[in-house]
Amino acid sequence: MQKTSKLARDGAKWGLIMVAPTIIGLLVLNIWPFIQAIYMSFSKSLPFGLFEFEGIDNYVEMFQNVEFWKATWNTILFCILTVPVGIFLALLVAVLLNSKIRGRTTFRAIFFLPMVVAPAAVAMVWKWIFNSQYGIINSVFGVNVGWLTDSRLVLITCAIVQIWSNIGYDAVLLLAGLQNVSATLYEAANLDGASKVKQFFSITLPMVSPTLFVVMIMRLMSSLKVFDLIYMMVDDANPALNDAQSLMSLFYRQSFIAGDKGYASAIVVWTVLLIGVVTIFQFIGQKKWVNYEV
Amino acid sequence: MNITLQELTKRFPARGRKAKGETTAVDSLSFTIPDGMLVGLLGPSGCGKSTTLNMICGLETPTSGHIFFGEEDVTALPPELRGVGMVFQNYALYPHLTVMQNILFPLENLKGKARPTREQMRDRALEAARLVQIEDLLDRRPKELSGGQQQRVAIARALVKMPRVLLLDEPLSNLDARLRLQTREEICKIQKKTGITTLFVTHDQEEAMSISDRIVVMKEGVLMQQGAPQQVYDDPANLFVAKFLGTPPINVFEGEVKGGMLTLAGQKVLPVPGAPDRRVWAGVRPEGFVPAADGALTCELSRVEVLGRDVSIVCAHPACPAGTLRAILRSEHEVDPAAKQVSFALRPEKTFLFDRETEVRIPFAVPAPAGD
Repeated sequence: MQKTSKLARDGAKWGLIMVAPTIIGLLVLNIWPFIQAIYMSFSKSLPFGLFEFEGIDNYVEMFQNVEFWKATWNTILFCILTVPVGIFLALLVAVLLNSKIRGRTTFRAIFFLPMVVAPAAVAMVWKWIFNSQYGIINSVFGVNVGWLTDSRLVLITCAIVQIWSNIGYDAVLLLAGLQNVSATLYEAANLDGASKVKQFFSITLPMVSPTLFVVMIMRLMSSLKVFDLIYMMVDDANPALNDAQSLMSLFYRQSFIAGDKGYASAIVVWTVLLIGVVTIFQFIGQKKWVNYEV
Repeated sequence: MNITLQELTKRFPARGRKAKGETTAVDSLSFTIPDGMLVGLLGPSGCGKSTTLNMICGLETPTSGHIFFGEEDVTALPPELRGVGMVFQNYALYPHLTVMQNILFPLENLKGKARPTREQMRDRALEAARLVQIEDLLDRRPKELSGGQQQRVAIARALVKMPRVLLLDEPLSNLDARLRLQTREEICKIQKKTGITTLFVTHDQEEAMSISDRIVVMKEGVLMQQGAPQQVYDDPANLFVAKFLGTPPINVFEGEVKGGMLTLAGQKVLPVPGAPDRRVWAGVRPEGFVPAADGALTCELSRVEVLGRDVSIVCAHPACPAGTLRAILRSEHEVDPAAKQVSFALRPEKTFLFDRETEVRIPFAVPAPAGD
């Protein structure tokens, strides 16, 4: 075997030193807690923060629990409600912001604004807007809809707020993708008589598909992990709590309110598996539609 | 079918938010591209030639003026109805489509009666591919092709819908030197074979001269001169055209005409009968110098470059603002590289006079060449 030169070893040493802060942070804050969570999911919580290994009891209990399945379904439903609509609207906004309209920098800033606002503040304001007694929506339309208390509506209401919060960020990402598309492609398509719709599907969409894929992965992950929005919008006294509770809200209640960290950890491991499977399928599926030719 | 531009003008709003007024990119441009000809639109960068091309294909709307395809006024016609094929400078191939799909793209957009069947589309695409010799690359994507191959695909895509006009925007500028020579012959050949009226834009005068049937020279949006390449070269209308055409470029002197005699820095160099007395620019083509012991133009010799067939003589003359001038002689002429000075006679048909202020050509009577 060839001996590594001193220079290469030095380079590797410095490389490791440079990435050390990130690696250490990941180990201490993400990887070690995750390993602990896996261990805890196979353990029984005892008083004083102690654990005792007990095998798969937590999982057995979890898979037999109706509330857990309801939360899983809520989370999946939340993804279905938020991701396609959210991405479609973000793409629409990006295309509009990419066209030559007056004051588009201002519009860009406005659309990005929700990203800057604290999620808790966003949730508070929307909660007030959707309030069934004094909420602005009900009073403007003169109806009496329990946006946040009706078990059929509560998840949809949360999905609307989630979509609203993310449109700007996604649109700015997609806009960056759109701006990389050479203008001459559209000129050529114009000369070739392609309609605007055809241009969108045969130029814009394929050219922006790598960005679209990234946005999709990010959105699916964040929707599968949704917690703060639902936690803020739907409080414990809400009669529709069971119909809005996501896996992460369930985890929070089991872990920090009920104090059963072992059981809560099993929920976390389940969620991670769910995200992993969904992401793997996305990476398999992308070969069919994402275009990396530039 | 002739293409006629009539008083075509394009103004753009000035750039920058605070800037007021407009810039005129093309200024009442009129010329005709005769049917079936290959015409080179030539000018330095920013002279409005690309804008002119974009107006002909319909991507830009003229501020005023008209464009005729034959008898038909197409000024207001949208680009897809004009029947133009365009080859863009960067080729603008659709990167996610294969070569075949790229060539098929214009046909797929045809509507109504004009729309061919799938079979016909394939046949026409294959025919276009064969014309530019890319029939074995049909399944590749643009990224997998060389620059030259990409350009062939672009030409095939432009030709497949059988356009009335073919427009080429700087077709050779993205190719390396060797390929450029080969491709320009190729373009010329394809044009002759298809007989399609073709306009191509370039800033390279050599490129334009070598393949065009006619050239049109533009400067700052204004037409300078048009005609057959040799004719424009031999009979430039103004100093700009004289300087723009020819490699190596024309040698320009500050001179004066007095009593029918061209005087350069006190040396009476050439009788110019018929030219009025005034201060002039005198332009002499590099091949316009004849070495002669009693030559009227005496220059200080800087160096002699032997090029095989020709000899290039670089020397200095006080009336030459550029500092040096270059004469190209047949290699039979022997010039002693060690000599301090060299004397030339000037060929009157290779010497042009231009007004010092307006830079417009001043004609003079060229004496019939004495049999030498």
